[in-house]
Formats: sequence, structure tokens, C-alpha cells
Amino acid sequence: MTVYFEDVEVGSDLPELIKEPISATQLIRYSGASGDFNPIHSVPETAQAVGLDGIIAHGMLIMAFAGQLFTNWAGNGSVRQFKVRFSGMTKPGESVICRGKISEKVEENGECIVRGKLTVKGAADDSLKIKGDFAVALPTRR
Amino acid sequence: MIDASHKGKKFPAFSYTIERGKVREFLIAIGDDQSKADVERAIVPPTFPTVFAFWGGLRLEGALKEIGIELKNVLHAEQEYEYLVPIHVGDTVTGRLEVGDIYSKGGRTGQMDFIELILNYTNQQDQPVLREKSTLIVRGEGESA
Repeated sequence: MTVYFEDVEVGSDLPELIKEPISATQLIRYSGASGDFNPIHSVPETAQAVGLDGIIAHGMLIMAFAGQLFTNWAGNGSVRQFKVRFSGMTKPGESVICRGKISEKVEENGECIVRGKLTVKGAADDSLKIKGDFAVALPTRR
Repeated sequence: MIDASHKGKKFPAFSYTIERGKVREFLIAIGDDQSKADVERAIVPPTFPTVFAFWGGLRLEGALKEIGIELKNVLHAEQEYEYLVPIHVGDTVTGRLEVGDIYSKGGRTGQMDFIELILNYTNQQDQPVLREKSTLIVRGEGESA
């Protein structure tokens, strides 16, 4: 279903996205898919040797979850800007919830741009994983 | 402390040709079951550019070593993408890595060192398509989290 610029209201929430718990296998799969083989995401001994208490998820995997919040809504071709700050680590077994809110509507360079703010938090303890901003270009009914 | 003289350091360009199978693999890895139709229409998801660098021969681990940083001591602090022109399956993108700012900040757990990595991508028509900035935290050897 197409989302049109005219139908979006500043202050409205995006449909919440609840992700399945992250597994160690998913981290290995993401290492292969992305090519980021930093062993702190896959080898418990290395993670412990650098002072972590076990392997942690790639920040970029959690950012990819955050991206799904607005691509599920506006499509993958719509994105113009995407920026996040990583606030907390995510471990295997954790499930996260992505939430977003529309903050601005503006016409720029001949495009209808909608900006929003998003968060990714741990489902169990509400701990902040990611805080971010996005901008998508939407079609207009005009 | 990271040697601040590395600010502005440039690394050799690398290229990556986007294959549909790799994008499908990426969707499975991120648990995205709603973007299949976009990928069949050759559109890539917003964080897929991470693949350009890691599979396109950036050799991040080696680049960081040249600056005296071990990959395993690095944590990701911030990531920013600016999408200038749509990137599609079949495109060949060329990336150029440059070191941005290098700085330290005092935090609850003591001083932390930060380094910005700037990646500028062009497509096969030499059009700028994507600007990327990664801010990394560099932890000391054996320092606790």
C-alpha cells in the first residue's frame, strides 16, 4: 500500500516493529551477509578477551532493524537520510522493539520529504539501543 | 590515544558490483520478510551499503591497523547515510575512505577515543551516490566494558 505525502501527519507514530529474539546463529549469518567478521560478534573467547561478557550483536544489524521500521512503511527506495547513535549493546537472546514518530514534512529539491525520529529498545528491559533520524521521499497525490 | 596526524588520511579506492543474491542473503540475515518485492525491482535496503565496504575490498581491519587500531577494540558509536542518487542491483559502486575527525571525550568510565571514517561512493557513471560517516569508539587493549 502506497503512503502519500498528503496523508502523513506530523506527530503521528509509525507502526511499531517487534523483532524476533536475536540468536548467535543470526549474528554469524549477519557476519557473512555483511562481511563484518569482527570476532566480538561471533567468538565468545575473543569477546571476553576484550572485556565484554560475551558476544554482542553488530550495531549495523540493529540499525538494519531500525531501517525496517520505515522501509516497511514507505518502501526501500524512499530513503534519503538515515542517521543513528548506538547507545547500548544487544546480546543474543534479546528481542528489540523499533518505534518512530513523524517530526517534519517539507518540500525540498522538488521532492516531498518526511522526516522522523526513531528508537530501538530492548523488549525485556526497555534499555535504549539506538536513537536515530530518518528522511524519506514520498509520492504526492498532486 | 589515537595519533591525530592521521586526520585526512586517504585510502585506495575499492569497487563493488551489487548482485541480487547478495541482497537477498542480506534480507534473510536482518530478518526482513517485507522487502522481497523491492529487491526484485532492484532496490536495495538502506543499510546494505555496509556490504560495499566489507565485500568490496576496503579491508577495514588493515586500514585501522595502519592507524594503530585493532578491529576487536572498536565499537560503533554513530552511523550516518546520505543517499544522493538511487543505487540499484547491477550497479558498480566505487568507495573512497578518508579519516575524518579524531578526538577524545571524558565519560563516566574515563576518557574515550573517537575516530570518524568518511566514505564517499560514486556509481559506474561517476555520479556521487552516497555519503557515509561512521564514528567509532576505540577501547584500550584489555580495558573492561
